[in-house]
Amino acid sequence: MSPEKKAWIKPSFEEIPPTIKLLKQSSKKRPHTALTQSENKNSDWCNIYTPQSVSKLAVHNGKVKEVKHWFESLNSNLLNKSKILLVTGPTGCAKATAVKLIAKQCGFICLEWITPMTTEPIYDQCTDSYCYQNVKDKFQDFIWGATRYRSLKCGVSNGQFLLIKDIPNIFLDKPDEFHDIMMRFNTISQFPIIFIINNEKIIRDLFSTEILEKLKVQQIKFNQITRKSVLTVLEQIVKSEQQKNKLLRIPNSTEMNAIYDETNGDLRASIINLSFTCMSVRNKISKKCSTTSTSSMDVNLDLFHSIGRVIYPKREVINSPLQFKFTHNPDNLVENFAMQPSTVLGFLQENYLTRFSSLSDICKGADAISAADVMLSSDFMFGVSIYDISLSSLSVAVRGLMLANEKPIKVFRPIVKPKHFQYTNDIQMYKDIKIWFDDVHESPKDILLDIIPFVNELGTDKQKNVAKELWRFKRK
Amino acid sequence: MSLWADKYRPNSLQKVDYHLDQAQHLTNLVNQGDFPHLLFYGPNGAGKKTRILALLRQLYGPGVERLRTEHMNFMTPSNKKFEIMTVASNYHIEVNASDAGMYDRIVVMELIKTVAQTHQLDSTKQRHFKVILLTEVDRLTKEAQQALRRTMEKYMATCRIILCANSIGQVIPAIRSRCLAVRVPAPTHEDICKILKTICKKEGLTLPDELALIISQNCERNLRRAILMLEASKVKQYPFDVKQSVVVPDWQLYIGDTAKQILSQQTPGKLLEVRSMLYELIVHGIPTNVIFKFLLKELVKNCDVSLKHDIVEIASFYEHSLLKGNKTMFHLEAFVAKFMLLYSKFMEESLNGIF
Repeated sequence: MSPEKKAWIKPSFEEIPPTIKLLKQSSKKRPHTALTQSENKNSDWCNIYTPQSVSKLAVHNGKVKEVKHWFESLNSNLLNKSKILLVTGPTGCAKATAVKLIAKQCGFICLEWITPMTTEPIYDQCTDSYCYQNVKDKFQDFIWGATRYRSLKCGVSNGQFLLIKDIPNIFLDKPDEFHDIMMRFNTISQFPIIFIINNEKIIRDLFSTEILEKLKVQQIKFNQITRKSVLTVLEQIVKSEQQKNKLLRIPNSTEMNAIYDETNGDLRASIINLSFTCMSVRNKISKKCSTTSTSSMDVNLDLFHSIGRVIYPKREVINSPLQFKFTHNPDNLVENFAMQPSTVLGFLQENYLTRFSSLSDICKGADAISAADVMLSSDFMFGVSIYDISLSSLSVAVRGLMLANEKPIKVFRPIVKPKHFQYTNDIQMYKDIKIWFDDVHESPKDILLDIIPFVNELGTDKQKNVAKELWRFKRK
Repeated sequence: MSLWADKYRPNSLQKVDYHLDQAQHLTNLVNQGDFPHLLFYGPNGAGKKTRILALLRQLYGPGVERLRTEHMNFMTPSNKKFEIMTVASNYHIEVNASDAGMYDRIVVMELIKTVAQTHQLDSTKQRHFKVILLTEVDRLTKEAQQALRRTMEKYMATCRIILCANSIGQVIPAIRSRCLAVRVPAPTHEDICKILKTICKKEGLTLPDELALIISQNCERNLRRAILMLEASKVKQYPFDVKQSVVVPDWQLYIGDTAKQILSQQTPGKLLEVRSMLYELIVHGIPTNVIFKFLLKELVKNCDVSLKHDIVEIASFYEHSLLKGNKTMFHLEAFVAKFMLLYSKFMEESLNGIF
């Protein structure tokens, strides 16, 4: 049987095993009985407690209004209306849920693009062979079809819209092709597209400001859900869950807050963590264990935060002023830097100076940084990986700085990017020098040190001008 | 511009003005017909390049002076193309491999391979080898130096390599042992005065002895700089005046200013100011080791004798870590901080002694 024929014969005409039928029935029921359903213990709480109306969304009201306004503007007859909406925001701030619910309220039907995992061969009648369709063509076909022809289901509704949450990877390498498709879409389409993206890099690559203007894209930025709203949602879930299951242990408010902190306000992750916290008691693994935090996620610190902890070290005195420990363990700090150690070292060096109060402390700190740099660029490797060396050298710098800084200056100053990186582009400079002084057969370094200083007296006019522009020291 | 420094560059080993014994040795070496790989080293402006070019002329005749610049293309392992400028004659090729930065290993390997794989066309009239001249070998990465060492042995039959460096401290021992190292020391003050006078004579100018002495004292025993200073002074004012001020390089003055700042006040805030001044120097491409050297010189000038010893000791420590390390600025700053600490302590103690 050729695959073409396969497509025509629906499996429903064949004998259906009874198990499938049962499953289908239960799944049909689920949306209506989701809130009261108690026998379905396996499905996760995120699905069960998906809000069913716009009023129950945890999203800020203003954002809801913005999205709603966009949907309403679609029906108006404005000439300059935008057909593309770009929704951005951190993970787990209910972007997709909000968009879907609002669309439903406004009477739109959602068609969602899901990038296919594998592509099946398509039978080509003309050549009597199988061929593969690439993801790009599929995507284009889908957009073409979904935005021009009404779906069979949307007979009564206002219309339909296309929801794209994951953009095929191919477009990340070739943003031009993506823009091309979008331009064509913009001229002929009937129905709108909504993009939901949370990756900053993708947003920058695919939706630069020019493109946003060109395609008349409206952008709505969702913010992180506030602590208060997350906690209310969690409490509601616990309450309704408790009615079904009396054995459930209610987590106290500190635990709830801990869940929020660990997940950085990610609502989805919070709910999953909540279900885990509740479950661990129900199964009676151990009572002591449940009182400590689940800490399923690493403490997620950004670079500035961790650098702050190094350059403003906090000490906890144990017995006497000589016996103390750091509030933040230097080892943990070193491991939590999510950047190359050499880059981190650059940041530390650039920023440590202004936080030190005395010169002798600075000396110790500078020594530590200097030693770390020597270690970092050492090339001995007796069974030690470069990664280990770089981590230990960073550890030397972090510990050295924390220990040296006895009385940190507690004044806020912004953390700045290391200048060192901007300033080490000698190669380009040497190339430029060679071009300006193409009649001198010396190495660029010698030209720089010996000839440029005398260019005012000896050089040609052009060289003089270049030197005046670029080789002037700024003096106060 | 045709500078005096180029115009009066001696073009044969017989015409060089100083290190005459060494010139004689080099002549003998060439007259034998063959020589090992050479490694010339010495401070800036001592005449390394002059001697190398004179040696090549002695070897191949005036044909080496017909130079052409070529751009050679190389490909990195990640398929990135880059370009290196070379200066070549029919008999030799000159490359500064450190222009390629982190890709210098590829330049060293590819270049020697392409040059060394072709034999000289007419080996009866000419030497049977070509010469590859690599400048600034001390700035090459360790990987490039390792690659150089292997290719050096492999292509000994068809080419000789002449290396040129400021110091052999940064050249790996494996290369040092494969080369005949020739040290070219800086000329003495008397040498410089003599050369300046001969140049003036040829130009038809009269140079007072005092001015020649001032120039030789201000040029850091760098002959190139001395000749440039002379030429700049001539442009500024001629006939020469005994009390005429000579043009001192701007960056050198700036380092002097930096040193004054360090000496004026020893506080964290001042250190921050000094840091920005040091960055200013680095932006203008002044190598960190040069900054270090002149800064130390200026600082020590203003120190008490008892302090000098300590200062030089810490300077040598940080200079060492500067060479070993990667980010030169870190070590420079550590040195300045340490100096400030020592200096302020010393000043406090001496003030206490007075009262």
